[in-house]
Amino acid sequence: MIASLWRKKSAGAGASASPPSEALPTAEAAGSAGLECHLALRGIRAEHAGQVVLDVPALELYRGEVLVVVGPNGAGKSTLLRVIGRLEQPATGQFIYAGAPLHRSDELTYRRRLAAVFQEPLLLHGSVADNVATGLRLRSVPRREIRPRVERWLHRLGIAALARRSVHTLSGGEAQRVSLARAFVVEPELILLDEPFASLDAPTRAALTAEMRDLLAETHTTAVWVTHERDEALTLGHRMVVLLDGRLCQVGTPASVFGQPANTAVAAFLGVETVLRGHVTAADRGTVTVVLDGTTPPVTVAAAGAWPVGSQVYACLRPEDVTLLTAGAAQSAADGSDSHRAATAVPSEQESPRWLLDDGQHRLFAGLSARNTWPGQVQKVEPRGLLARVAVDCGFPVIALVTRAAVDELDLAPGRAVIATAKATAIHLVTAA
Amino acid sequence: MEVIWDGLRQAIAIILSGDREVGQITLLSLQVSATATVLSLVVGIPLGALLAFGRFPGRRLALGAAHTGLGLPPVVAGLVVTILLWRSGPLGMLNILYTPAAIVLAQWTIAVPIVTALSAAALQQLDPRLRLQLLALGASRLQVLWLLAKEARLPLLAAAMAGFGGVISEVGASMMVGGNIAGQTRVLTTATVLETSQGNFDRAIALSVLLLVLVYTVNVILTWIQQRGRAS
Repeated sequence: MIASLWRKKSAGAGASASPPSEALPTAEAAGSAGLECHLALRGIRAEHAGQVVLDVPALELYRGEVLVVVGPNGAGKSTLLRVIGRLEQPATGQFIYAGAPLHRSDELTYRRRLAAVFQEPLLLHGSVADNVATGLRLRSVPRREIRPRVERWLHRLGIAALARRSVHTLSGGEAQRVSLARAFVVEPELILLDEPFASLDAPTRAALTAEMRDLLAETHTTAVWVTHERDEALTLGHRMVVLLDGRLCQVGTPASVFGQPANTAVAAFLGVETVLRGHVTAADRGTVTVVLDGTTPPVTVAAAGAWPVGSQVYACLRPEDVTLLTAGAAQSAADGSDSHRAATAVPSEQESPRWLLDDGQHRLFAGLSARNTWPGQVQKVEPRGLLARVAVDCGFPVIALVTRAAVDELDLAPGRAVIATAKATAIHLVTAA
Repeated sequence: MEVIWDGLRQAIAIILSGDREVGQITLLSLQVSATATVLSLVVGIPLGALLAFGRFPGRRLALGAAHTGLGLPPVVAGLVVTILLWRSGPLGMLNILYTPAAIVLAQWTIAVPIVTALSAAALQQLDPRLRLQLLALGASRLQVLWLLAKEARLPLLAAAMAGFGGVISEVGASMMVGGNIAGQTRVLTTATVLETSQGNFDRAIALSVLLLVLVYTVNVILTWIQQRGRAS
C-alpha cells in the first residue's frame, strides 16, 4: 500500500522537468495520499563547538516509509540520525511526534519507541540471547515474555543456533544480525540505521540489505537509513534526503532526486559528471534548446522540460545515460544498417536505430525522442569495476560509463574519434541563477 | 635479621592464639576501609562517568584535579577532615571526630579521587558510540551508567582495588582524625606505628603480617571476580 503510494508520487514528480519545485510533498498532498506524518522536524539546528553542523528547516517522516539519507562524509547524516533519535540535543528546533510536540520530559518514552543499528554492532559482554534481550529488560518487560520474543527474533534472523554463544566469538555478519534482532525485538515504531552494513564484505552486505528490506516491509516499521551507497538509496528508500555541508539540499523520491537534482552540488554528489552551463534559446512542445556557453561554433543541447527562453541553466547528464558510437557506427545507424556499434552502460535500454541527422546541429531523433549527438575524441579510459569511465572531448567535456566489453569492441582509447549521444529526456536542467 | 625472625615467630603465635585486641583491630580496619571504599565507588564512578562523557566548561580542569588526587597525601586529607570535624568547624555539629566514622570520612576523601580518576579512564576507553547505542535501546541515564559500568567492570574493579589499597595502608589520616584510641579507633596501621614506637617489634610485625594478609585476601577476591568477568 505504502509502496504503491510512493510509486504514484514518484511518477508524478518525475513527469515534470521544469524549474525545480521541491519534490517533498506538502502536508496536504501527503494527507490526500493517505500518508500519516509520523515525525516532523521544524527548524532543527545542531552545533558542534559553535559550528552549525546541521540545518534542517523542515522534514517530515511518514509512517511506514523508509527515508534514506545520503551525503558525503561530514555532511551531517549521522548527526541528523542522532538528533532524530534524541541521542543528541539540537541547539534549536521542534519535534512533533505522532501529531504532538515532543518535550524533553518525554524523551525516555520517545526513545523507547525506537531502536537504532549502527555501523558497528556495539554488543555488550555476554551471550547472543542476553544481548537481544537487552532492550526488553530495559523496558521492564516481564521475564516470561522476554524468552519467546527473543527466540522468535533469533529464528527470524537465522541465528537461533548462536543463542548461547558469547558475542566475542561471532563473525561481523553474525554480530550485525544480533544487532538487528536486538533492535526489532522491541517492536520499534521507528528504526534508525546508520550505515548498518558498511563494514561488512559485499556478499554479506547484499544479503543483509535484502533481508532488512523484507523486515521493514513485513513489520511496517518507519525507518531512517543513512547510507553513502547510491544503489542502496535507489533501491531501499521510499524517499531520500540529500545532505550537503549540514544543509538539507533535496528531499524526494529516489527517482525524482536522481533524475532531477536540485542543484549542481546535489547532481555532482549523485554521480552526474557532465555539467554544462548555457542558456535556453528555444522551447517547443516540452523540449528546450540550450546553447552552451564558451563553445565555438555554438553547441546546442536538446533537453526535456519547459524553461523560458533566456534562462541561464546547467545541463546535467549522468554518465550512464551517454552512449558512444564510432563514426562508422553512426553512419550505419543513419543508413538503417543493423551492424552499428554503440557503447552504453545499459545496452538493454538501447532504442531502435532509426536515426535522423539534424542539419549539422549535432542532434538526432530516434522515434519521438530528441537525441543529442556530439562528435568528439576519447581523452581517457578508466576501469570502474565491471564498467569503464570514458572521458570524451566534444569541445566540452562529456563523461560516459560503458561496459568493458564495449571498450574492446569499439576499440576505445585516447585519440579515438567517437560520437557521444544522449536522449533529451536524460538531460536535466538546473537553474544557474 | 634475628629481630625479624623472632618477630615473625611471635607474630604467628599472636595470630594463632587469637589475641582479642589484635582481632578487634583487624576487624575495625576491614570495616572502616571497606566502608570508605564502597562509599567512594558510589560517588567516584558517577563522577568518573561525568568526567568521561560530560561536556561542560572546566571538565579538563576537573579531570586534572582528580588525577592530582591520585597522589593526595593522607595527612593532607586528614588535616582537611580534622578541620571540618573540629568542634568549631563546619561539620563540628556531627561530633564524630575521633570515631571510626571520622576515619571512614578521611579514607573516603583519599579514595574518591583515586576511584574517580581511574573510573574516568576506564569509561573513556569504551567505544563512545556504546553510550548512544544504549540510549537508543531505551536505557535511562542511570541504566546507561549501570550498563557502561558492567562493560568496564575489569578496569573498574582495578579502580576498587586501588582505592581499597590506598585507604587500608594509610596511617596519617587515621591517626589524625581517629586519634588511635585503643578499642575505639585503633586500626592496623596506627597500631603498627604505636607498637614500633614502643619497641614491640613482635606485635608490630604481627600487625603488619595481618595487614598484608587482609590486603591480599581482599585483592584475591576482587581479582577472582574480575577474571571471572573476563572469562565470560
